[in-house]
Amino acid sequence: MLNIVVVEDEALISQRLIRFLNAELADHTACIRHFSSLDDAEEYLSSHSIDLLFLDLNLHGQDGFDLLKTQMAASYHTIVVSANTDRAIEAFEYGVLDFVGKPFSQERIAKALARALTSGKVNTNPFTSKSLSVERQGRIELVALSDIDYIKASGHYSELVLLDGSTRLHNKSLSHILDILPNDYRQVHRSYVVSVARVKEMLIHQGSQYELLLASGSVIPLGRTYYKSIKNNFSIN
Amino acid sequence: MMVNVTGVKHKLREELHQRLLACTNSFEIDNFIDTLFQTVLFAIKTLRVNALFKLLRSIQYVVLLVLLVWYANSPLAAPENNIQIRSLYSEKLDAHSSSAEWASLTFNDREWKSIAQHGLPSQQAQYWIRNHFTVSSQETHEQGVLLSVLGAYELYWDGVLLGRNGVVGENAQTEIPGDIEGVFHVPKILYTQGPHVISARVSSYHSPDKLRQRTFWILLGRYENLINSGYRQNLLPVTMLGGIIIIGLYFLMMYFLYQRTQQILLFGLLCVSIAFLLLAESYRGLFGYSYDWHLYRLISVLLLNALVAGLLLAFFLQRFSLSHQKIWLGTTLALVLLASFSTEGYDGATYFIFLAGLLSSLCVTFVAVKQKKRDAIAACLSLLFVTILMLVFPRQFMDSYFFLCFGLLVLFTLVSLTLDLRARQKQHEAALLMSARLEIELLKKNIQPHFILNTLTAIEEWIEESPKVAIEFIDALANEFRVMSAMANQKLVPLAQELCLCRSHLEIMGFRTQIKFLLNTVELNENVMVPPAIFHTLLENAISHNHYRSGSIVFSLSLVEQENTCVFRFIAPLVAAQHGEATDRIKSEGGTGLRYIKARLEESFSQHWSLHEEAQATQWITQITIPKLLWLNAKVIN
Repeated sequence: MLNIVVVEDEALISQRLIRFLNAELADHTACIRHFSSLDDAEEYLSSHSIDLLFLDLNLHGQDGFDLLKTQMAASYHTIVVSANTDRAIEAFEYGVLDFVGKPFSQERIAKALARALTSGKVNTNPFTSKSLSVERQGRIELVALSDIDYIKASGHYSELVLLDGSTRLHNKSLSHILDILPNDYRQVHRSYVVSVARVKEMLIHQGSQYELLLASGSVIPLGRTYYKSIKNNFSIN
Repeated sequence: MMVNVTGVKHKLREELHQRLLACTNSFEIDNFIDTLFQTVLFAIKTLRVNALFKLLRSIQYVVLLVLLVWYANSPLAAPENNIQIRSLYSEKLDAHSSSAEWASLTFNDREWKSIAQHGLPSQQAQYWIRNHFTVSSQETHEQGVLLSVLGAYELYWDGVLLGRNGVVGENAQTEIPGDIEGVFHVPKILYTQGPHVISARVSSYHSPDKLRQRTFWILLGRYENLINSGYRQNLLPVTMLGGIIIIGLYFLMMYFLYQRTQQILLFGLLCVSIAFLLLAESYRGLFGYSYDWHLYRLISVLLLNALVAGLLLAFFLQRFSLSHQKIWLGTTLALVLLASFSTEGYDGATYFIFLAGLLSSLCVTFVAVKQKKRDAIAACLSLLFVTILMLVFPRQFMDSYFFLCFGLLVLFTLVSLTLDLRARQKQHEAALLMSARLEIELLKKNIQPHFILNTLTAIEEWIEESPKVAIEFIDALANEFRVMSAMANQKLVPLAQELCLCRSHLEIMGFRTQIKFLLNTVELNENVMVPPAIFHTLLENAISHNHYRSGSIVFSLSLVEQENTCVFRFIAPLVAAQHGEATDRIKSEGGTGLRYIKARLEESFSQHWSLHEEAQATQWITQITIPKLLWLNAKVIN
C-alpha cells in the first residue's frame, strides 16, 4: 500500500498529475490524496503517515521554500512539481528527492516515481542537499552537512551525530537520508552512514573486525559487507 | 519730537561707525591675507584636498566678512575729507549786501548756525552756506571742491566765484535747478596755506516739500578723484549688476521656457529687482541728475527696496515650502508699513523696510532650518550675516555692503537652486525609468514563467482530455494578451478597456480553477481614465491570496464621481477560514501587486491619489481615489 499526497492549487494540473500517477501505479495498491492548500495537507499529514509527497512550490502566491524546510524534516520523500525550474538547485539543497518542472509528461512522472520506489539505491541526483532539516522542540532546524560527523540508525529514524558531540534525531530512515545526501556519503555499516571524505584511517583488528577512525577522532564500526567498497575507495584516493 | 529721535539715532550711528573704523584701521589687512595664504598653502601640502575644502567652507564667512570690511574702508569707497570743515549757514538775506561781501573770508558770520549733513533748512528758500577750513600743506596735484546740495548754487572761494551749478533764483520761475553733485576746480593761486572759506549762495525752490531732509555734502580733495569718485564708487556695484541681471534673466527664461515653478519665477524677479535697485542706487554717481529729480530717485529706491524685501521673503517661503505663507507676508507687510510711517526721511524708511524684509526672511529660514529643509542652514547663515552687517554698519550698508551681501546671497541661492534642479532632473529621469519599468512589469504579468508554465500544463491536460475546452481557453488567453499589449505603453486607459482586461482575466481564471468568477460593475462611467491594469492587479491579488474553492465568486467595483475626483471601491470576498491569514499576508508583504498599483498611481497622479485598504468580516475593500479625467479630455492632453 503506497500512500501518496498531492498538493497543487490548480485544478487542471492536479487532475493531470493524479491521472499520470494512477496510470503508473496501476500495478500497486496506491492511495492518492489531493489537497489544494498546504494547510489542509499538513492537517492530514500530522495524523497520517505517508510514503511520498508531490508538492507545488507556488501555492496561492506564497513562496514555497519556507514550507519546503518543514517538509524536509519529515520521514517521507518529497518531489517538487513546480514551474520555477530555475530554483531546482536550491530545492535539491534543501533535500528534495526530485524536481519535476512544469509542464510535465507522463514519462517524467514515471521517472520520479521510480526514483522514490527504488529508494536506498545509489544516488543519481546531479544536485544534492547541503543541509538536513530536523525537527527540534517543535521548530525546524537546518543542520549543515559540514557540521555532521556521522549518521547513525536509531530505530526507524536516524541520529545525526554532530562535530560538537550533540545529536539530532531525523525523521527519515537511514536509507531515505542516503537518497538525498551527496555521493561521498556511504553506508559503512548496517547502522552507520558517513562521508568518505571524513574518514582518516581504517583500523583493522583481529578476527576481521574493522573500524574507521574519522577526522574528528570518533571511531565507528565498518561492516564486513561494506569493507570492500570502502577499501576500493581508499585505494582510488 | 520725531526730529529729536532721528537726531539721536544719527548720532549713535555716527559714533558706532567711528569706533568700528578705528578698529579696522589698526588691523593690518595685508599681513592677515599673507598669513591666510601661507596657511592655505600649508594646508594644501599637508592635508588632503577634502580637508582643504572643509577648511575653506568653514572660513568662507570669515573671509567674506574681512573682504567686506576691507572694501568699505578702501579708497574705492566714498572719499573722506581729510581737512576739517566747519559749515555754517544763514537764512538772513540782506538784499543790499553784495555777493562778494557775503562770500569773503572776512565776512562776519559769528551768529550763523552750524550745520551737519542733514541740517539745511527744510523749506524752499534762498540762503548762504559758509565753510571754514585751514589748508596746512601745499598740494602738488590739482585740487577741487565737490558740493552736493539740493539747490542751484554759486560757489565762491574766499569770495572768488569758482563756478555755478544751475541758476540761483528768487523763486521757482527764475531758478534753474543744478545737478545733484557739482565738482569745481580750485586754481593753484587760490589754494594757499592758511584759513579759507568756501561759500555758496543757494536757492532751493525746486526741492519738493516732501523731502524734509536736505542732504549737504562738501568734499575737498584731488580734483581728478572728485571727478571720478562716482565711477569708482559704483564700479563694483555696476559689475555685480551685470552679473545679477543675467542670472535674473536666465531664471526668468527658465521659468517661461522650461519649468514653471514659483521659486524659479521669484528668484528671477528677485535678481532683476536687485539689479534695478543697484541701478537706482548708483545712478547718482554714474550719470547724475538735476536736484529736483532727487526725490523721485529716493522714491524709486524705496519702492525697489520694498520690492526686494518682499520678494526675498516670498522666495524663501516658496523655496522651503513653509506653511502659513500669508501670515508671514502679512506680518512683514505690517512691519514694513510701521517702519515707513514711523521713520523720518527716505533713507531711514528704506533702511527699516529692508531690515524688516531681511529679519522676516531670517525667521523664515530659521524655521526652515528647524524643519531640517535642505540648504536652509546656508541660507540662514547668509541672511544672518547680511542682517548683522546691516545692524552694525547701518550707514555704509546701503551704499557699500548692500550689493556685496546680495551678491553673496544670490550666489548661495544660485548654487542651491542649481543643485535642486539637478536633483529634479534626476527625479525626472527616474520617473522615465519608472514608466519603462512599469510597462515591463505589466507585460511580464503574462510572460512570467509561473503563469505561462502553469497555463501550458493546463492546456496540455485539456488537449489530451477535452480538446474543445483547450481551444476556448486559448481564445480567452489570446484575448487577454491582446488587451494587455494594447494598453501596455499607456499611462492612462479608459475604464472600459480596463474592465475588458479584468473580464478576460476572470474568464481565464475560471477555466483554470473551475470556479465561476464574476465582476459586478454597477452603472460605471466607463469614460474615466485609470492607470492600466490596476483593477486587474487587484483581481489577481484577490484570487491568488484567497483560497476560493468552488461555486461562484463575485467581485464588485463601484465608482463615486465627485466634481474633480473619482472614488473607486473594489470589494473582494474573503474566504472566512483564511480571513486572518490573507489579511496578514497582504499586510506583511505589501505585495508586489500593490506596489505596482501604487507606482502606477504615483506615476500618473503624483501625490494626488490615495489608496485605502480595509478588511471586513467577509470582504476585502480597496478604495482608490484619483483625480477625475475623462477619456476625451485625456485624449486632448495626449
